[in-house]
Amino acid sequence: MTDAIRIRDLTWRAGRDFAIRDLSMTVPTGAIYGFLGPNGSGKTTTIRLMLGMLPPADGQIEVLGHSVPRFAHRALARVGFVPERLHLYPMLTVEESIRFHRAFYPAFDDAEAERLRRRFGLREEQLVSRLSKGEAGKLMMLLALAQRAELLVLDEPTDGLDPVIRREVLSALVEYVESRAATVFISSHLVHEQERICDWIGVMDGGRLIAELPMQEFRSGIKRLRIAQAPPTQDAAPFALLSREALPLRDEEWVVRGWQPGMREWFQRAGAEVRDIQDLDLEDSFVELLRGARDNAEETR
Amino acid sequence: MFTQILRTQFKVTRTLVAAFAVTTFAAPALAWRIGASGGYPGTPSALAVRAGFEPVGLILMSAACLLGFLLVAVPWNVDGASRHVYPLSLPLPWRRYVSMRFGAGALLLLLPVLSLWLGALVTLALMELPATLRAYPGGLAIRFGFASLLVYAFTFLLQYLAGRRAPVILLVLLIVVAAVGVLGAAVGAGRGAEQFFRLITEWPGPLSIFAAEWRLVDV
Amino acid sequence: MSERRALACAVGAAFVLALVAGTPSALPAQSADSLRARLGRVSAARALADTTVRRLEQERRARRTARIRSGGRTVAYDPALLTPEDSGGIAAGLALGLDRLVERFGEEGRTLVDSATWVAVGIPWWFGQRRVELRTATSGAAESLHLPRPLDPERVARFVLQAAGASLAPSSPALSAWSPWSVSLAGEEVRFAEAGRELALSWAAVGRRCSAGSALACRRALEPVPGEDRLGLLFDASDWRAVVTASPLPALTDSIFFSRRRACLAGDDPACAQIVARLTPPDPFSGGMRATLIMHAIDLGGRDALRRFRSSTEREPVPLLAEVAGVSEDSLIMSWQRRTAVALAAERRGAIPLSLSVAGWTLLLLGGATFRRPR
Repeated sequence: MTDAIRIRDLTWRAGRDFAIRDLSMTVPTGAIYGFLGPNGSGKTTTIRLMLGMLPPADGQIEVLGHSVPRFAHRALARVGFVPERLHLYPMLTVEESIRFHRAFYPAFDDAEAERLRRRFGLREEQLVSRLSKGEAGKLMMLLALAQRAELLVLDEPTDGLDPVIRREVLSALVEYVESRAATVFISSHLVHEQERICDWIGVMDGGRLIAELPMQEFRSGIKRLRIAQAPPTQDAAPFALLSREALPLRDEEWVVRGWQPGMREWFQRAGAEVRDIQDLDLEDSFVELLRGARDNAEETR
Repeated sequence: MFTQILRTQFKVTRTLVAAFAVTTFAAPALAWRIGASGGYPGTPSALAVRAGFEPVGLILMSAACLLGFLLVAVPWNVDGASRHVYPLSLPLPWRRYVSMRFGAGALLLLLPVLSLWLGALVTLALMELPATLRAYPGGLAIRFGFASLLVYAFTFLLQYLAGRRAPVILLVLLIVVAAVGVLGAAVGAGRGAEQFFRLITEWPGPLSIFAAEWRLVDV
Repeated sequence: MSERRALACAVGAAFVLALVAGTPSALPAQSADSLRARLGRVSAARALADTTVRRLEQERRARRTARIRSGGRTVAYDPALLTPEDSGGIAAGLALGLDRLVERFGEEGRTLVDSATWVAVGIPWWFGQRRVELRTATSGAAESLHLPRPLDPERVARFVLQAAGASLAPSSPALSAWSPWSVSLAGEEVRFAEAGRELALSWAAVGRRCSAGSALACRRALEPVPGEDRLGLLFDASDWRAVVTASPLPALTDSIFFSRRRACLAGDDPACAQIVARLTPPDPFSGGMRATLIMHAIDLGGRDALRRFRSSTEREPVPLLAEVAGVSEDSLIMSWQRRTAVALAAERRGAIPLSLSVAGWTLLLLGGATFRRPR
């Protein structure tokens, strides 16, 4: 199976304050890849680089087998893109927007567009500038889905939408993926939303990809441990320590990634004892992951 | 694709284009009413008619500059509001997209040009031209079209190369050109200034179109 | 006289001449005043030219001046203000100009500039630069030329041809009053176009008819016409309103005259007819237009034109110029009329080169615009 998106050693810089550094990422074909990260972590910039809207300073990007930015237009012909903010022409009506978009995508499915328009309750003669945020989101999703894209790149597609509309949009997306076996790259900071639909997770922070793993592994591999007589260092540990905190009675609380049941023995060998193991939900895991990454970054500095 | 780009561009600039079409249609008639028909009652002399139509050239030159500039600036601002995400995400090479956008704007320039031509024809049909004078409605319309196309192309280049910095660069350029011109006129053009102006205003310089005859009525 | 004042005088003379030559023809309503003003300015320019001759001669004799010698001609200059390269450029241009004159008119050509005084002036200019001006004057005509650096001998040579022509009309009693304007031998079609424009826009019917191709009208327009005959010979009824506006008021006017004049200007044709007979309209044609006939006759006359010009005993301008040209009066006038028409038409040509230029620039600008994508 080839990868829908392959990024290697991507570097990009904007002024002094922000940079994407040595970003490598792989999105397998057919995956629903959740791209998590706090605001300002570089998710949108990575997407713009990925679609050839920004020229990288260094590194390689391949989307659907096409090198980007050189052949971005070839890749874009097979990509449905929903940006974080409304990008359509405000003076066009819904019907004109559909007609405009269709002109650029030979595989555009008129019947599907009409079906989605009715389903989303969009009126043909409505001006784009007069659409509510939810309606604008639905129109952008309609266009991305009706063009029969092999890869959907969605940048915060449900951000700011009310739960009803969010559910409508997501269910249309899931139906599409099921029927067409498309790959989806969905960027969001809404962790619970990702948890429901994604099978891969990538986490960005400060312009770096700090984790990339299957959802299952992400969900079950991050644990909170209560340790008695914790060893001073965790060198040669079979897991990654994300954080450690002292508790009363000389106990410590460790948050670790890549935990497997047989790893208790490592503590025993170090003279420590694992008293309690807690599963973290995705949001907690995400927070701990970020905290660990930031602590590490500070230590390295 | 091109039709859709043209249609969209038209929707963005239709008020602007319509305003210029009305202006260019009315300019010859207004000049005739205000300028050329003044003076003596009855048949005005050739000199009076020619002089009376003189403001048309100036009005049209200014209109051509403004039209060319606005026809780039207005659609650019619409795209700029969404940081050009839509054009950049369309599946076609950037050069092709830019060329189509350029072509669409250039086609829209034709409306005021045609309107000027028709306005000039109507005005000429309503008046009696002295025997030694000739009318140049086509020539004037073509000059207007070329001038607006040139300003359009220049603004287009500036806007697409300099982006948000374009207005500042344009302002600086205008100030430099005006300063060179004013200094040249005030103290006698130095060789550099003189050569610079000759270079840009004489054929095949970029501004030679503005130095050409812009008269609707001439000998 | 200081260099600066000398410059001011020469520039003033050039400015007055340029003003007279370059001012677009005024509306008929202003013609009387403007023509009077023009005549005044031309006389002033001639007087100034004579003064300039004397002044330049004084400058030449001044202690500080040095000499550029070329082809027997001497140009006075201040060595402190003119570089050797400047004087070299002037000498080369002078020689080139004289060669052209000799080539066109034989040794007669050389004599045209023999009587002229030449001065080259280097004036301190911006940022330590100097400006070079070449001035010349003969009796009745003064010319000056600003020369950009490095000096282009070709420009100096053209100036020599212009200056050589400047002395022609004033040197002939038949022509000096008829056309006090300077004549250029540098082949300036733009002046023929200007003459063509003056005819076509003329407020006198003969001018317009000449522009349309009438030989008789052209002859009328070119021949000197005494003031009292002008109304009948040069104008027709359609011009009367313009004549009323342009003519000076007659010596004895009464309220009836004024009321008829007002009625005439308000559109009452019979009122115009009643008062025009009492008016003496000014000359509707400029010396500049007539000067082009002199230029045309010399061009037609070829190598012997100057010799014939000098030896002619004709007292009337048109016969004199026909003799200079070596053709009949009618063919001189008609070929002149055609030349003005052709020069005028040539000014309007150039739509295709202009289109190519705009197309080229547009493509270049569009090509540039595609290089960078917005971010």
